[in-house]
Amino acid sequence: MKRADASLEFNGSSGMPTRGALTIRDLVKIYDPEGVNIMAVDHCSMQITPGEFCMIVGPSGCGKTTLLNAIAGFHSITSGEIFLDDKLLCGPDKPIAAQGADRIVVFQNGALFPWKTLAENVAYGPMVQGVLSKRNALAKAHEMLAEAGLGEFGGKYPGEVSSGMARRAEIVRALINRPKVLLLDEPYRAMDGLTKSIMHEALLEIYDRTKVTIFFITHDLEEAIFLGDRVYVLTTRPCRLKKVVNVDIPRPRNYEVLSSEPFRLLVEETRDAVHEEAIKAFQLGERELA
Amino acid sequence: MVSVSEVSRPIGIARSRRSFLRRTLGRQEFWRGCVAIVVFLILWEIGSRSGEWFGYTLPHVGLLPPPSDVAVAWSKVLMKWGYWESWYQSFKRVLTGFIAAQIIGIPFGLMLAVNKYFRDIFFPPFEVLRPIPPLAWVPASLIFWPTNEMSIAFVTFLGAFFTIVINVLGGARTIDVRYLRAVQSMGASQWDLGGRRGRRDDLGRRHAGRWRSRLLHLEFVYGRIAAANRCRHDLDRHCRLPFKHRHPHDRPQCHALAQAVLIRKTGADHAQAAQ
Ligand SMILES: Nc1ncnc2c1ncn2[C@@H]1O[C@H](COP(=O)(O)OP(=O)(O)O)[C@@H](O)[C@H]1O
Ligand SMILES: [Mg+2]
Repeated sequence: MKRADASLEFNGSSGMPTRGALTIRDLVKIYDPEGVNIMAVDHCSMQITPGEFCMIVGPSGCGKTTLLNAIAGFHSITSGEIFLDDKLLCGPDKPIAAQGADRIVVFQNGALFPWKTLAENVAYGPMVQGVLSKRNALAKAHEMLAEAGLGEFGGKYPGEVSSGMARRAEIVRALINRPKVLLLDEPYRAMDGLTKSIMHEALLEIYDRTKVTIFFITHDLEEAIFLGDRVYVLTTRPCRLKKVVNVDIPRPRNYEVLSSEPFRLLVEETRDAVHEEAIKAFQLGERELA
Repeated sequence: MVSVSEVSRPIGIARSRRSFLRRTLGRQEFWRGCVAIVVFLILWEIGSRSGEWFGYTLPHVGLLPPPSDVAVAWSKVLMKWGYWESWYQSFKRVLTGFIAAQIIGIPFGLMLAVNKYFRDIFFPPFEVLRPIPPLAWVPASLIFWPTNEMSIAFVTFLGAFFTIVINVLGGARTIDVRYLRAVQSMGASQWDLGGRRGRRDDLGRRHAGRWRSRLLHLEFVYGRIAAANRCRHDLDRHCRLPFKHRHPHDRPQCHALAQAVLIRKTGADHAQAAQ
């Protein structure tokens, strides 16, 4: 595959996205701390199409993070299979997926290296993989930061910019590796509403350009409908797919969508499904770990 | 191998450096400290001249020479070559011991941090020796070492060695798992301790050889150290790194090294697990 120069546009920006189909088949994950089996995921199946903005919602402690960790290769699975495009990530003979730059995680609290500037952070991936020299990686990092509206901040340390900018830089740091999937685990959870809405717009803008597949965990339903192509509602633990809500609001979307009738109906539809599970989870006293 | 590159000079740090002197002079704590020292010297002077001034010699303090006499004597030796020769000799001993402690202590601490078997074998004897105060080693070191110089350097070495090892080890424990995972997810698959050849990733690029990852790894280490040194203050202020509330003996450098190596080691583990 050749590297395009227009760095933020790489997944079939002319036409249909072609990379990043994520297939989860009968996934089971049983945690076994000291012999107490905790079944976190129970025969869960999903089919995520290339370039899909996929939102995962479900009650706390239902197993969303577990699902993401399995895809990212942070821990093993008990049975089932996960494919990325045609490649088997993990399956019966390979319980833990190899980590790779084709699936990049953007962490909840941000994981920019505080000892590197934003540009150095962004340049880190290609440098460490040996695909670009330091000079070229930095040049490209500056270029991509500029494209994401962070042109002046390349030389700043993460501690010197706002959390919103840092988060955006982190997404750029992921995108420079041209991943097939971005994995986000409640990335805007601790943010106030205003910052969140700015982040949403930034993410949507980046998504509209890259059409990279996004696997986005949240429990904010409005966020889910506003951002996603499809919303996957999960049951309470052990997690299974309960319902898929297709969001047919056209893109590009902006904040006016939030007050539209179709948006309201979709939120309600999703809420009904989630609410049922949330009550079950509450009654079981589920506690989330991560 | 400069971490803070030409392209990206941190602005805030340069500013905070320039005004360091002015900030210090403007601080109340600084002047309070100065006054404390002056008062201490005055009390000492009074104490040691108590016999001369009040006719009653205070115990202990009364036997010491007063600071004014010390200053006069000092101004005389200042002119002598032997005085500076002593400085030089002492520096040499201390530096020899200290540098040796770093050369041995940092890799040793890192090995303890990254390898469980190494830790199981070497940590217990280390812990047995650690509580022995350096002074208690003096007789033994006189026997060990052929020259006086060497035994003095050895005692200095011991004073630094244990602290360094413990700090490196401690640094490794403070790494946030998010950084490890971020590194893994951005290219750890090729961070390889095990001498395997590069693999092809899914984009068909041949991974660079090990020497390359070593270089990058070094960059990582030095980058972390340089950043820690240059912008300690800024990091303290902005980054919520555990610098501020750390133990007074902790060295950010040691943390840096330990973190970097552990990050790399985790990468290698994962690469192996993935095989
Ligand atoms: N390392 C672990 N060991 C044991 N149980 C775990 C572990 N991680 C998560 N769990 C359990 O698995 C369930 C799902 O957790 P998680 O995937 O973190 O939920 P969430 O949907 O909130 O992200 C929870 O009930 C949690 O208690
Ligand atoms: Mg979670």
